Amino acid sequence: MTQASTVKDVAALARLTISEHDIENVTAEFNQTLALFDALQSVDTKGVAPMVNPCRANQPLRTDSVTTLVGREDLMKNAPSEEENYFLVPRVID
Amino acid sequence: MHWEMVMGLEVHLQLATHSKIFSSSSTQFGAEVNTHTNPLDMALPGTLPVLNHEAVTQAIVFGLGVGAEIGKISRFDRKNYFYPDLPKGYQI
Amino acid sequence: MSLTFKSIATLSHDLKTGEVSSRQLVEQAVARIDALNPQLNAVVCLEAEQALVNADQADAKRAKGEHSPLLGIPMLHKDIFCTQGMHTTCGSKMLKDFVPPYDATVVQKLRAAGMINLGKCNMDEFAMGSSNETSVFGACKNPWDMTRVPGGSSGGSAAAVASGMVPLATGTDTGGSIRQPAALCGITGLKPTYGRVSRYGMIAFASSMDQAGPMAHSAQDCALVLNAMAGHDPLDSTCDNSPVPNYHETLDHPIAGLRVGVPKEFFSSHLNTEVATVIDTAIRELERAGATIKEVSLPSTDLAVSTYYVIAPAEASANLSRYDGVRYGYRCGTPKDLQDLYFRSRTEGFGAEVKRRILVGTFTLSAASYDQYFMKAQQVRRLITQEYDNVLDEVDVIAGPAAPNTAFALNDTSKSITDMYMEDVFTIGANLAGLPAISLPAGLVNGLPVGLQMIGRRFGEAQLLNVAHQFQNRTDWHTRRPTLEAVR
Repeated sequence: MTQASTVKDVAALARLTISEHDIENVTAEFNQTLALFDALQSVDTKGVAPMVNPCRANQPLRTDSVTTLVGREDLMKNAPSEEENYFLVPRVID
Repeated sequence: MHWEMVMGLEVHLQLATHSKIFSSSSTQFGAEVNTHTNPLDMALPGTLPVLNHEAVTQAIVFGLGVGAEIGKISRFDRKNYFYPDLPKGYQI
Repeated sequence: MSLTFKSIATLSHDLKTGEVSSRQLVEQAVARIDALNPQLNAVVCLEAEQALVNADQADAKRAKGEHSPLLGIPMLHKDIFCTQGMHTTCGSKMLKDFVPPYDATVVQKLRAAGMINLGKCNMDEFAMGSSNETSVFGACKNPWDMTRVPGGSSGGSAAAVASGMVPLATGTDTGGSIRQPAALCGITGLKPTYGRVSRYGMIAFASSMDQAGPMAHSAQDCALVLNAMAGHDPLDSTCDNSPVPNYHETLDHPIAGLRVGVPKEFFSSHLNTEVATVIDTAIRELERAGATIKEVSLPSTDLAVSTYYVIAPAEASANLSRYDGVRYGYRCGTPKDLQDLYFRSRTEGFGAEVKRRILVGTFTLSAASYDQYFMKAQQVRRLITQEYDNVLDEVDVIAGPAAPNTAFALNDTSKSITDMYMEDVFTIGANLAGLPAISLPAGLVNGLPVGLQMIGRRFGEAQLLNVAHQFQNRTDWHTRRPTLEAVR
């Protein structure tokens, strides 16, 4: 059973805040989902290679040529905060 | 007390390709801010990486040049963290 | 004459003979959306003006002698496909104001084939859900009974087609999100083989399972649309390079001698007994059409749910890291520092189910848990895939129910989170293995639709569509319509 403190740590990794009001519920739901995973433990997977995706072909490779699909102005149209073509965020380095 | 110093060097070497490793944007130095970009570099929803053939070739050439063993199978993982210069929230 | 509910095939014919124009089709579609949508909430974005312009262009092309099966046919896209200049929200507050500067490949392809996109359909937030109840736009209702869900995550797409708004809506399927809503709404929905259709521009949920597909009234219509949707895309590394067959050409092949496998595990305690009866009857129909029915076994059926719910949230947690309030999407008000920006934008921007899955996904990818959960699940995934491959050596297609029940009630608080996850018990295997699968109407239980699901071999869409078409030649379930009494 995962503790609320671990759930909070995991949330922090994902940059999510769980309020004190919700933490008990969220932890309970989290554990409910984890209980679903118990069944996996009893499966014999010795020597079985993990399957990453269903693709059977080899990795396609792209020619090394420069293409611009969308220009800067259009790429930045959805910016929440921008100035002189920079995306603005709160100060990072003190 | 005898102390022995052990030092490692992390060396980043940029391969001299025309376009980026996963995006077809230019790698040329000195352009205007945010111009060597594509939807993929901006991590716009739905965009996907495609591996640059020349990057693979040059990596192999470099490896052979320094006498390294070239891996027959390479895989990519995602290293997940949050930083403003990391648009996808992971490095491939 | 009412154009509502006519198939793409019929409308295409009517357009060719000049009986109707694209403009009329679009006008009728818009009128129907205006009339029904306030109640159904299937459509979240409607661009009628542009659609009429495109319709006129299609009519002009036709006047010059140009004709193709999809030219001038109105449609809707699930709001997960990036549409240049048109809002693309993925059902989330996080992207509520997002307008992509580019089109998804699927969007481009269907436009190039002449289809007229009218707008975007409602969906579960970031494609996570089986009921279309997690959308920032609110729940979508099932046209057959508006106190019930249409299914999810492509609930809006299913409801739009089922209620006769448009003859085609695109959907996406990661764990059953085309097939389950198709089943609950009485329409035909196809999830192609992983890699058959490009994912470029399709907002990612679980990258190793997501796939786009058509949702329409019939297998014939799905075949016409898949012809246009499928094919190689250099922008998607997972998109297959093999030639796309003409799916329409092989619809009429007889199915005598077809070997149909019915997994005994699909008829477990999960399955509603009345639904089981409908499926059984449907399978007998295949037998009457000349197929041989054989009982097969997929012992990992329940295990597939556990496997999926490790892998999908894990992949999603990484795919959703880009939503950080920096370059686009929701940003919290007056962030006091960088971390505040991240925490509040993400906490406020994402809904509860998305946050739940990000949490579980982040956990299973963390160093301490990786081997035990994520890697383990990937190993089990390979075993499940082998199981399906083995069965598909013995038989040509696997047949069974698409969903364990008919449409359930909205706001069903008796359903736990994991109950909701079990809605996908029959559909999930095909996503893990990357196989094509279709759901088609097979009957009604207490007036609510039931879907027959068929799963095929890798790149076996032609066969699936052929079998489905033969079934639809012999039955009329796919022609049944909701009365929409409550809306009139």
